Amino acid sequence: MIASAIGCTVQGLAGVPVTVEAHIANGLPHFAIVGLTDRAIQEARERVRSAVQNGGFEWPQRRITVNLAPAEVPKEGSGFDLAIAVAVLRAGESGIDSSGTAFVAELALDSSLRPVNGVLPMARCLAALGMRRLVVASQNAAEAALVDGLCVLPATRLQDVVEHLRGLLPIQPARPGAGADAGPAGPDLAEVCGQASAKRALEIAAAGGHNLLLTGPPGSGKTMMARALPSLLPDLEPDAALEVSAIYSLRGLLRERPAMSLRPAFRAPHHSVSRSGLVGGGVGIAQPGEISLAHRGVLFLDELCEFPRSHLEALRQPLEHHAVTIVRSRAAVTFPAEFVLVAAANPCPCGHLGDAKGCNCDLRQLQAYDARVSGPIRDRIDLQVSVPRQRFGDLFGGSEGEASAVVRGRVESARQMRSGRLADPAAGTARTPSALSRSYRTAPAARRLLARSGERLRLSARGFVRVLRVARTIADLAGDDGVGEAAIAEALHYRGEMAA
Amino acid sequence: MKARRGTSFGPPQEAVDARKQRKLRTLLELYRAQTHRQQQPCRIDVLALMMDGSLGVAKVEHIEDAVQGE
Amino acid sequence: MSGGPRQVSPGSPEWPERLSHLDHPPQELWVRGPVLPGARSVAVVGSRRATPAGLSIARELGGLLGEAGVNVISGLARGVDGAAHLGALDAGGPTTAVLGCGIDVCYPRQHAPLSERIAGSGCILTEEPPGTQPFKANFPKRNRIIAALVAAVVVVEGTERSGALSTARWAADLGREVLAVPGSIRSPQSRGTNLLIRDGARPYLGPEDLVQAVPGLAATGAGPAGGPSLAGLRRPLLEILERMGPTPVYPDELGQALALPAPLVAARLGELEVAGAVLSLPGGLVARTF
Repeated sequence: MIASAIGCTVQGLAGVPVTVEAHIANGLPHFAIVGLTDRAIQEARERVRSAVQNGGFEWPQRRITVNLAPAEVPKEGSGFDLAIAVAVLRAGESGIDSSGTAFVAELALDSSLRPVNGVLPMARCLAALGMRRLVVASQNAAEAALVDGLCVLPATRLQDVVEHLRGLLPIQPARPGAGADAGPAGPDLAEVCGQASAKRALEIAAAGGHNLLLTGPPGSGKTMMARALPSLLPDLEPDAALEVSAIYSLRGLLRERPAMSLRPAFRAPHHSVSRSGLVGGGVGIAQPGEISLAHRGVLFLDELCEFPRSHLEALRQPLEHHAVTIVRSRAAVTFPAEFVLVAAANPCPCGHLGDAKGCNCDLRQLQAYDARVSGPIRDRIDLQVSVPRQRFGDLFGGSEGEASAVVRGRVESARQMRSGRLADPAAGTARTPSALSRSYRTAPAARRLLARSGERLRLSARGFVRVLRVARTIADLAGDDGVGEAAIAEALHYRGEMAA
Repeated sequence: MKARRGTSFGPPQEAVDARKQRKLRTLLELYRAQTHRQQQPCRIDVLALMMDGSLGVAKVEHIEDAVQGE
Repeated sequence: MSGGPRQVSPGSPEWPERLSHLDHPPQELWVRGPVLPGARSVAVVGSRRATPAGLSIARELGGLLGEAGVNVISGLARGVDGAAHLGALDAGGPTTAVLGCGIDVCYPRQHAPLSERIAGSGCILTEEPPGTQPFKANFPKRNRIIAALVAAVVVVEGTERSGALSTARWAADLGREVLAVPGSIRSPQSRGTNLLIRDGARPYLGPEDLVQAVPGLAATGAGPAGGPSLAGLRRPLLEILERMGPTPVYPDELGQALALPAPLVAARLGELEVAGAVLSLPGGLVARTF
């Protein structure tokens, strides 16, 4: 008497199908679960037995061994409960047909089904492997139904699942989740008065995916500017949106948010966030952190210098590779983390540099502060711009600025230009300043300006590359084929590196 | 042999837990030593008896070789 | 390197002649470094908490004097003093630091590398015996030595309570030329220098003012005219520059004043920075360098 059912677990953002085998042998009553399990799965023995009995089924009073295969994959959490129950019931009773069906849900003691995290990436994996049906708790149905080619069966009780498998009372498949949600949650750029420089920098950041540092006195509107950035980013491709939703699914955040949003995410973790909360990690199987929740969107770090230095150091790898790898004793997992970083900081320790109130800090303090603000990630910040406090006159009398939608139009065409260029194989491999400069079609006058800036502004090699990349984005926004002197000069002005 | 009048504490065979199994094995080894039957094959079966209200046997379940050695 | 400190007494051939102009000249000097200041010496002094523009002026002036071979004398303090020493050293000129503490006491500590450089080519001197801590009371005494050693004092920046003003008073009493860099009447760091000008100090608008005040300085003919030049800047760049002073401003303010779009303002500021006419400061502010 041996039977099986298909469950699923996740490693990073990838689903891993798990075959749950149940063997009922003669012997004194015994129930063992083997196969690289964690505590939650060992506790499943008690949950599953109670749920089966409270569902009105007989628990086999014999020697039951459940094996989760493949044995080398570490497994965690309560999502195997339903698959274990189905496998055990099938081993004890014929007439339950679970072929082509996978099961992912936690069981309550009263036999009802509970939602679990990570159902969306599991559903993607199961569909890719040719599973036709997936039974989940009804709260997980909307996210699972986002996956094409998979019939999602939402259930509330174990009895319903068994009745369905016996062919007695079929469960109605869940309909695919509602389409894309309404407009962006952040403010529209037109609502922001003044701040011409910062708006321009946001536009460049959106077009080229450049990281941005906003400096300005408290209350000058740095947060509002950052919140407006997502409204300048184009909609996500459906594939990308699904990938982002999968990350939210892992954290169990899809139940309170539209299952599938085409709008780029905006995440603003507070500086008291833990390191694993920021970059990912946590106890047991690693969870994605804020930087992955900001994948293909915006990560906003307000009060940058209040973040512990170690947190900022941990951002360096993801900022370079657009992904983060978390190493665990049992496995290393990788989560995508391709985001635009917007950092905000006061201009000086007292916060009033350049303000009407006047600043009391001397230059040495300013330099020390400046080093603290962006030290660890200085060479990852492409754009630095000031957000001055607005005068009352500007707040009321200021002319209406451009709406986000207008700017987004320019951003979209600039991105098209860039992806057209990246299709050229030579462009993708250019790394050195001179190779980049050639592939960017930098005009001779612009190259001369860049050379002069090397002496005067003491630009590092990295600095050169950043200036060139920003200048290329500026030219893309203008629809220019080549990079002109003005684009280089403007990029130089925004460089995040000060002359010593 | 284990008997129960109801299942509110679980079926009778469940009461043969690891501790009781260990005791049964020790008992068997003592028996074999005292009667010089070490070479003889032997096994422990469990008879689970469900009793009805008047202490008559309602149901018997026989589990052969229920307690296996170490 | 500089070797150990040595004592120089009045009557020694090394003894700076000008110190005898003081009513109470030092009994003796502790000296580290090969070159004691001679007749062609100018003091550049000012606030510890100088503005970026003030530091830039001090460093530039130190450099101009250094190129002309004029000994730049200052007090090794943070801010203007340090910048003036540094400018002179970078230009390869002699420079002298006069301390308010013992020759073996390093104050301020972060200027240890700077003091080594000074002792390597110019000198560090003090009248305080070795081991003397930088007591507050020593600094006015120190200022009288600076004033005595030089032909002229240039005060770059300072509040009305700045020690640089005490140096200027000593200098005026000794008949030395006193120059002060004027600044905005709103800037607290220029309050002291503006007061000096009101009291009769010469405004320092450029090296030519110094040469005019002390003609002997130009003796070797190094009429310094270096520094960043306005020549060759295009008209649109000048238009922005004219709107800027040494007080830092936000680029947005320039854009509003000139009715220019942000990208254009940014591009022009970028070019001006490369030309050395504009300084980009922490916090995204910009200031004119001259």
